[in-house]
Amino acid sequence: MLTNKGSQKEDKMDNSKPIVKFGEWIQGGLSLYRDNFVVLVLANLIATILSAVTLGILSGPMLAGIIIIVLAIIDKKDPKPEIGDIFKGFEYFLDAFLFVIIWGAVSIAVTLLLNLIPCAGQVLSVFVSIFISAMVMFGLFMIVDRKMAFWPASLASINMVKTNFFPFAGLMIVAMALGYVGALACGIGIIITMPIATCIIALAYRDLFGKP
Amino acid sequence: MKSNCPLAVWSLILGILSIFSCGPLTGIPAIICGHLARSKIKMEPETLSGDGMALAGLIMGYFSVVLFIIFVMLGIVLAITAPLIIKMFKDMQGAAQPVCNIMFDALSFIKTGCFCC
Repeated sequence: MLTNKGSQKEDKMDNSKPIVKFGEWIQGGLSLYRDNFVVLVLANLIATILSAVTLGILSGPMLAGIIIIVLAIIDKKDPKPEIGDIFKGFEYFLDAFLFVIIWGAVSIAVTLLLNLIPCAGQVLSVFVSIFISAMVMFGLFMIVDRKMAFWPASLASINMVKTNFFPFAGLMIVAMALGYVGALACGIGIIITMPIATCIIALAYRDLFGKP
Repeated sequence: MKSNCPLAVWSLILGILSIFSCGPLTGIPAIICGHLARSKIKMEPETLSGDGMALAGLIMGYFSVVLFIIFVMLGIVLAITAPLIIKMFKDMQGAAQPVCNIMFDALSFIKTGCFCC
């Protein structure tokens, strides 16, 4: 499922762009989700409730907590991750909080500004929000896994994604589409399906960046 | 082995409650617990953890207190200006009555004209 560091280096040497393994990551992400369904869904339920109740203030550390659980599952850590591990995200509170608040504010501000332009602005705002989300897709993983600060983590993610932007943006769109499938079931289903997106992006992150 | 500082956990819980429902009633205790927890953790970094929880509790506590002050000020401003606004609307309605009558007449004329055609 995961390539070792040697083959990863070969991939990068063969072709300066990192290879986006669509099929492998999506399939791996889905099987990861299926095998750890209960832990991931319950953790996501806690994260969603606490984020909503606190008007998004806790969404950063809660997302960090989910990432800790998913990365522990990928790394096959012993003892197995539990639902309570979601609160380990508070160890990275400040950077995770800044990451979510600042990039969220940037995305909302750009969208609002573009929406002032009739018709074309609305279409453009969708593309811009996809662009921003794709650029920083590995940022929170960097904060959690490599204990990086908010800004260097964002830059590391941007540097990786810009080398091969369109495949990464495509992966992000597919992962998000799978994650949002649950929204079709009265919106509540998103709690069940959202971890799929995290699993796919986490697999991509581990494959591209390796263990710290 | 580090353990979470109990005051940090309390700060987080009270902070969540302050935003969810109770405002400064739990917001101020969240701020106090948060500050106490952070200073305790700084004094015993080898045994205590939970700085993030304390910081989260602090932020939510301050946020809820600021939100409460804004709401109270808005309430006071509304209470002072409400009678003036109501009076202004009543005056406007009185002044606008002749204009409304003309528009109503014009609309009914168009309607009957259309039906006649």
